[in-house]
Amino acid sequence: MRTIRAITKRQILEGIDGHPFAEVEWNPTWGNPPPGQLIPCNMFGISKRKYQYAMWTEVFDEVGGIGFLTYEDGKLVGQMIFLPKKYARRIGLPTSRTNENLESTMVIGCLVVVREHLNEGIASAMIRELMSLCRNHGFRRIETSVDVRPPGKAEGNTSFFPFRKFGFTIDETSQGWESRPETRMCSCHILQV
Amino acid sequence: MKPGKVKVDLLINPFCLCDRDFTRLSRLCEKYALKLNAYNLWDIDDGDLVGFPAHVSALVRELRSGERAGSVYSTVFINGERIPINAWHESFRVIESKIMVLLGAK
Repeated sequence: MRTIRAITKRQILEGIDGHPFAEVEWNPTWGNPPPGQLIPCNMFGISKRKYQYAMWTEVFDEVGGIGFLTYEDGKLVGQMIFLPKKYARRIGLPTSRTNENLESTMVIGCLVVVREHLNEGIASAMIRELMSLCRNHGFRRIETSVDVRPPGKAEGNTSFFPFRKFGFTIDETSQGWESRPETRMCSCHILQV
Repeated sequence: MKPGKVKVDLLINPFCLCDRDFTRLSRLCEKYALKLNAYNLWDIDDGDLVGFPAHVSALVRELRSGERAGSVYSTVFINGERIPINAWHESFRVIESKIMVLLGAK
Protein backbone atom coordinates (compact mmCIF):
# COMPACT_ATOMS: atom_id res chain seq x y z
CA MET A 1 0.00 0.00 0.00
CA ARG A 2 1.25 3.47 -0.91
CA THR A 3 1.18 6.43 1.45
CA ILE A 4 2.48 9.94 0.96
CA ARG A 5 3.36 11.83 4.11
CA ALA A 6 4.44 15.41 4.61
CA ILE A 7 7.85 15.83 6.22
CA THR A 8 7.33 17.01 9.78
CA LYS A 9 9.27 19.52 11.80
CA ARG A 10 10.37 16.75 14.11
CA GLN A 11 11.84 14.90 11.14
CA ILE A 12 13.70 18.06 10.15
CA LEU A 13 15.25 18.19 13.59
CA GLU A 14 15.80 14.52 14.28
CA GLY A 15 16.09 12.86 10.90
CA ILE A 16 13.83 10.38 9.15
CA ASP A 17 13.53 6.82 10.34
CA GLY A 18 14.13 4.31 7.62
CA HIS A 19 15.76 6.77 5.29
CA PRO A 20 18.10 4.98 2.91
CA PHE A 21 21.68 5.37 4.07
CA ALA A 22 20.55 6.87 7.36
CA GLU A 23 23.47 7.52 9.65
CA VAL A 24 25.94 6.24 7.10
CA GLU A 25 29.03 8.29 6.44
CA TRP A 26 29.51 9.04 2.77
CA ASN A 27 31.96 6.59 1.28
CA PRO A 28 33.98 8.39 -1.39
CA THR A 29 34.24 5.24 -3.43
CA TRP A 30 30.51 5.46 -4.10
CA GLY A 31 31.05 8.49 -6.30
CA ASN A 32 27.85 10.06 -7.54
CA PRO A 33 24.69 7.99 -7.17
CA PRO A 34 23.55 5.71 -9.96
CA PRO A 35 20.31 6.63 -11.76
CA GLY A 36 17.21 6.38 -9.65
CA GLN A 37 18.98 5.55 -6.44
CA LEU A 38 18.49 7.69 -3.40
CA ILE A 39 21.70 9.30 -2.41
CA PRO A 40 22.87 9.36 1.19
CA CYS A 41 20.63 12.19 2.23
CA ASN A 42 22.51 14.69 4.32
CA MET A 43 19.32 16.52 5.06
CA PHE A 44 17.62 13.65 6.77
CA GLY A 45 19.86 10.63 6.72
CA ILE A 46 22.69 11.92 8.82
CA SER A 47 22.25 13.28 12.31
CA LYS A 48 25.53 15.15 12.49
CA ARG A 49 24.24 17.98 10.33
CA LYS A 50 25.40 21.48 11.10
CA TYR A 51 24.24 23.64 8.28
CA GLN A 52 20.62 22.86 7.45
CA TYR A 53 18.74 23.22 10.70
CA ALA A 54 18.07 26.93 10.67
CA MET A 55 17.07 27.02 7.04
CA TRP A 56 14.62 24.15 7.04
CA THR A 57 12.90 25.06 10.26
CA GLU A 58 12.45 28.62 9.05
CA VAL A 59 11.06 27.46 5.73
CA PHE A 60 8.78 24.99 7.46
CA ASP A 61 7.40 27.64 9.80
CA GLU A 62 6.71 30.01 6.92
CA VAL A 63 5.33 27.58 4.34
CA GLY A 64 3.90 24.83 6.49
CA GLY A 65 5.97 22.13 4.82
CA ILE A 66 9.21 21.39 3.02
CA GLY A 67 8.55 18.08 1.36
CA PHE A 68 6.86 14.72 0.99
CA LEU A 69 7.92 11.15 1.55
CA THR A 70 6.38 8.22 -0.28
CA TYR A 71 6.18 4.83 1.36
CA GLU A 72 5.32 1.50 -0.25
CA ASP A 73 4.29 -1.03 2.37
CA GLY A 74 6.07 0.98 5.01
CA LYS A 75 9.33 1.34 3.09
CA LEU A 76 10.54 4.79 2.07
CA VAL A 77 10.81 4.82 -1.72
CA GLY A 78 10.56 8.46 -2.77
CA GLN A 79 11.27 11.97 -1.60
CA MET A 80 10.41 15.48 -2.78
CA ILE A 81 11.87 18.63 -1.20
CA PHE A 82 10.63 22.13 -2.07
CA LEU A 83 10.98 25.71 -0.93
CA PRO A 84 9.85 29.16 -2.10
CA LYS A 85 11.84 30.64 -4.96
CA LYS A 86 13.06 33.55 -2.84
CA TYR A 87 14.93 31.02 -0.71
CA ALA A 88 16.00 28.88 -3.64
CA ARG A 89 17.63 31.98 -5.12
CA ARG A 90 19.19 32.84 -1.79
CA ILE A 91 21.08 29.55 -1.66
CA GLY A 92 21.74 29.23 -5.39
CA LEU A 93 19.43 26.37 -6.40
CA PRO A 94 18.42 26.06 -10.05
CA THR A 95 15.66 28.57 -10.82
CA SER A 96 14.14 30.05 -13.93
CA ARG A 97 15.69 33.31 -15.10
CA THR A 98 12.52 34.49 -16.75
CA ASN A 99 10.24 34.64 -13.73
CA GLU A 100 10.82 37.04 -10.85
CA ASN A 101 7.73 36.22 -8.83
CA LEU A 102 9.97 35.00 -6.06
CA GLU A 103 7.37 35.13 -3.29
CA SER A 104 4.62 33.20 -5.08
CA THR A 105 6.73 30.56 -6.84
CA MET A 106 7.63 27.22 -5.32
CA VAL A 107 10.81 25.43 -6.42
CA ILE A 108 11.27 21.68 -6.26
CA GLY A 109 14.91 21.14 -5.33
CA CYS A 110 14.88 17.36 -4.98
CA LEU A 111 12.68 14.66 -6.47
CA VAL A 112 13.91 11.09 -6.27
CA VAL A 113 12.35 7.65 -6.49
CA VAL A 114 14.33 4.50 -5.77
CA ARG A 115 15.26 2.50 -8.82
CA GLU A 116 13.01 -0.49 -8.19
CA HIS A 117 9.95 1.75 -7.98
CA LEU A 118 10.51 3.91 -11.05
CA ASN A 119 7.61 4.27 -13.51
CA GLU A 120 4.99 3.49 -10.88
CA GLY A 121 3.54 6.99 -10.66
CA ILE A 122 5.32 7.89 -7.42
CA ALA A 123 6.83 11.13 -8.73
CA SER A 124 3.47 12.09 -10.23
CA ALA A 125 1.74 11.46 -6.92
CA MET A 126 4.12 13.79 -5.11
CA ILE A 127 3.79 16.46 -7.81
CA ARG A 128 0.01 16.26 -7.37
CA GLU A 129 0.41 16.71 -3.61
CA LEU A 130 2.62 19.74 -4.11
CA MET A 131 0.17 21.32 -6.55
CA SER A 132 -2.53 20.93 -3.93
CA LEU A 133 -0.33 22.47 -1.24
CA CYS A 134 0.51 25.40 -3.51
CA ARG A 135 -3.16 25.94 -4.32
CA ASN A 136 -3.98 26.11 -0.61
CA HIS A 137 -1.05 28.30 0.38
CA GLY A 138 -1.16 30.98 -2.32
CA PHE A 139 1.71 29.80 -4.51
CA ARG A 140 0.89 30.44 -8.14
CA ARG A 141 3.71 28.68 -9.92
CA ILE A 142 6.02 25.68 -9.53
CA GLU A 143 9.50 25.46 -11.04
CA THR A 144 12.04 22.69 -11.17
CA SER A 145 15.07 21.59 -13.12
CA VAL A 146 14.62 18.61 -15.44
CA ASP A 147 16.59 16.60 -17.93
CA VAL A 148 15.16 17.31 -21.36
CA ARG A 149 16.39 14.08 -22.91
CA PRO A 150 13.91 11.27 -23.53
CA PRO A 151 12.79 9.19 -20.54
CA GLY A 152 15.33 6.51 -19.77
CA LYS A 153 18.24 8.72 -20.77
CA ALA A 154 17.96 11.14 -17.89
CA GLU A 155 20.61 9.23 -15.92
CA GLY A 156 20.85 10.76 -12.43
CA ASN A 157 18.71 13.78 -13.30
CA THR A 158 14.99 14.25 -12.79
CA SER A 159 13.16 13.54 -16.05
CA PHE A 160 10.70 16.00 -17.58
CA PHE A 161 8.39 13.04 -18.23
CA PRO A 162 6.32 13.12 -15.00
CA PHE A 163 5.90 16.90 -15.19
CA ARG A 164 4.63 17.13 -18.76
CA LYS A 165 1.21 15.66 -18.03
CA PHE A 166 0.60 18.30 -15.35
CA GLY A 167 1.03 21.11 -17.86
CA PHE A 168 4.64 22.00 -17.12
CA THR A 169 6.51 23.63 -19.99
CA ILE A 170 10.24 23.90 -20.52
CA ASP A 171 11.98 27.26 -20.33
CA GLU A 172 14.66 26.88 -22.99
CA THR A 173 16.38 30.07 -21.84
CA SER A 174 17.10 28.76 -18.35
CA GLN A 175 19.62 25.99 -17.88
CA GLY A 176 18.83 24.07 -14.71
CA TRP A 177 21.98 22.70 -13.14
CA GLU A 178 25.19 24.57 -13.83
CA SER A 179 27.15 21.36 -14.26
CA ARG A 180 24.51 19.61 -16.37
CA PRO A 181 23.98 21.23 -19.79
CA GLU A 182 21.23 18.74 -20.60
CA THR A 183 18.95 20.28 -17.95
CA ARG A 184 16.44 23.13 -18.27
CA MET A 185 13.99 24.72 -15.91
CA CYS A 186 10.34 23.82 -16.37
CA SER A 187 7.31 25.39 -14.75
CA CYS A 188 3.55 25.43 -14.51
CA HIS A 189 0.99 27.89 -13.21
CA ILE A 190 -1.30 26.93 -10.38
CA LEU A 191 -4.94 27.89 -10.54
CA GLN A 192 -6.02 29.22 -7.16
CA VAL A 193 -9.07 27.86 -5.36
CA MET B 1 54.67 28.46 -0.68
CA LYS B 2 53.84 28.54 3.01
CA PRO B 3 50.46 27.29 4.26
CA GLY B 4 49.50 30.84 5.19
CA LYS B 5 49.71 31.85 1.55
CA VAL B 6 47.10 29.32 0.47
CA LYS B 7 43.61 30.62 1.10
CA VAL B 8 40.77 28.13 1.16
CA ASP B 9 37.19 29.41 1.11
CA LEU B 10 34.09 27.22 1.15
CA LEU B 11 30.77 28.69 0.04
CA ILE B 12 28.21 26.36 1.54
CA ASN B 13 24.97 25.55 -0.21
CA PRO B 14 22.94 24.20 2.72
CA PHE B 15 20.37 22.36 0.62
CA CYS B 16 21.67 18.87 0.89
CA LEU B 17 25.23 17.61 0.75
CA CYS B 18 27.13 20.35 2.54
CA ASP B 19 28.08 18.48 5.69
CA ARG B 20 29.67 15.79 3.59
CA ASP B 21 31.67 18.45 1.75
CA PHE B 22 32.58 20.39 4.87
CA THR B 23 33.86 17.28 6.61
CA ARG B 24 35.97 16.21 3.67
CA LEU B 25 37.41 19.67 3.10
CA SER B 26 38.10 20.17 6.79
CA ARG B 27 40.16 17.00 6.86
CA LEU B 28 42.05 18.12 3.80
CA CYS B 29 42.82 21.50 5.34
CA GLU B 30 43.97 19.83 8.56
CA LYS B 31 46.28 17.59 6.55
CA TYR B 32 48.02 20.60 5.00
CA ALA B 33 47.68 22.90 8.05
CA LEU B 34 45.46 25.32 6.15
CA LYS B 35 42.80 27.58 7.54
CA LEU B 36 39.32 26.96 6.14
CA ASN B 37 36.95 29.90 5.80
CA ALA B 38 33.36 28.71 5.51
CA TYR B 39 30.45 30.89 4.38
CA ASN B 40 26.87 29.61 4.48
CA LEU B 41 24.63 30.98 1.73
CA TRP B 42 21.62 30.83 4.02
CA ASP B 43 23.28 33.14 6.55
CA ILE B 44 24.58 35.70 4.10
CA ASP B 45 22.46 38.81 3.66
CA ASP B 46 23.00 40.87 0.52
CA GLY B 47 24.16 43.76 2.65
CA ASP B 48 26.95 41.65 4.14
CA LEU B 49 28.60 40.97 0.81
CA VAL B 50 30.79 44.07 0.82
CA GLY B 51 32.87 42.56 3.59
CA PHE B 52 33.38 39.23 1.84
CA PRO B 53 36.23 38.14 -0.43
CA ALA B 54 35.50 39.46 -3.92
CA HIS B 55 35.30 36.01 -5.52
CA VAL B 56 32.76 34.86 -2.94
CA SER B 57 30.56 37.94 -3.16
CA ALA B 58 30.65 37.91 -6.97
CA LEU B 59 29.41 34.32 -7.09
CA VAL B 60 26.69 34.96 -4.51
CA ARG B 61 25.43 37.93 -6.52
CA GLU B 62 25.37 35.91 -9.76
CA LEU B 63 23.47 33.07 -8.14
CA ARG B 64 20.93 35.34 -6.48
CA SER B 65 20.30 37.37 -9.62
CA GLY B 66 19.48 34.20 -11.55
CA GLU B 67 22.20 35.01 -14.11
CA ARG B 68 24.08 31.83 -13.33
CA ALA B 69 22.51 28.38 -13.46
CA GLY B 70 22.25 26.87 -10.00
CA SER B 71 22.98 23.67 -8.17
CA VAL B 72 22.72 22.05 -4.76
CA TYR B 73 26.48 21.91 -4.48
CA SER B 74 28.89 23.91 -2.42
CA THR B 75 31.86 25.67 -3.96
CA VAL B 76 35.51 25.77 -2.97
CA PHE B 77 37.89 28.61 -3.80
CA ILE B 78 41.64 28.07 -3.65
CA ASN B 79 43.32 31.46 -3.65
CA GLY B 80 40.19 32.76 -5.36
CA GLU B 81 40.02 30.10 -8.05
CA ARG B 82 36.60 28.47 -8.11
CA ILE B 83 36.22 24.68 -7.90
CA PRO B 84 32.58 23.51 -7.71
CA ILE B 85 32.13 20.33 -5.72
CA ASN B 86 29.97 18.74 -8.38
CA ALA B 87 31.62 15.37 -8.89
CA TRP B 88 32.41 13.28 -5.89
CA HIS B 89 35.07 12.54 -5.31
CA GLU B 90 36.93 13.84 -8.35
CA SER B 91 36.37 17.43 -7.19
CA PHE B 92 38.41 16.75 -4.09
CA ARG B 93 41.22 15.25 -6.09
CA VAL B 94 41.33 18.52 -8.04
CA ILE B 95 41.21 20.56 -4.83
CA GLU B 96 44.02 18.58 -3.21
CA SER B 97 46.22 18.70 -6.28
CA LYS B 98 45.81 22.50 -6.45
CA ILE B 99 46.78 22.78 -2.79
CA MET B 100 49.79 20.53 -3.28
CA VAL B 101 51.00 22.55 -6.25
CA LEU B 102 50.68 25.81 -4.34
CA LEU B 103 52.50 24.38 -1.34
CA GLY B 104 55.14 22.73 -3.45
CA ALA B 105 54.21 19.44 -1.83
CA LYS B 106 54.91 16.05 -3.41
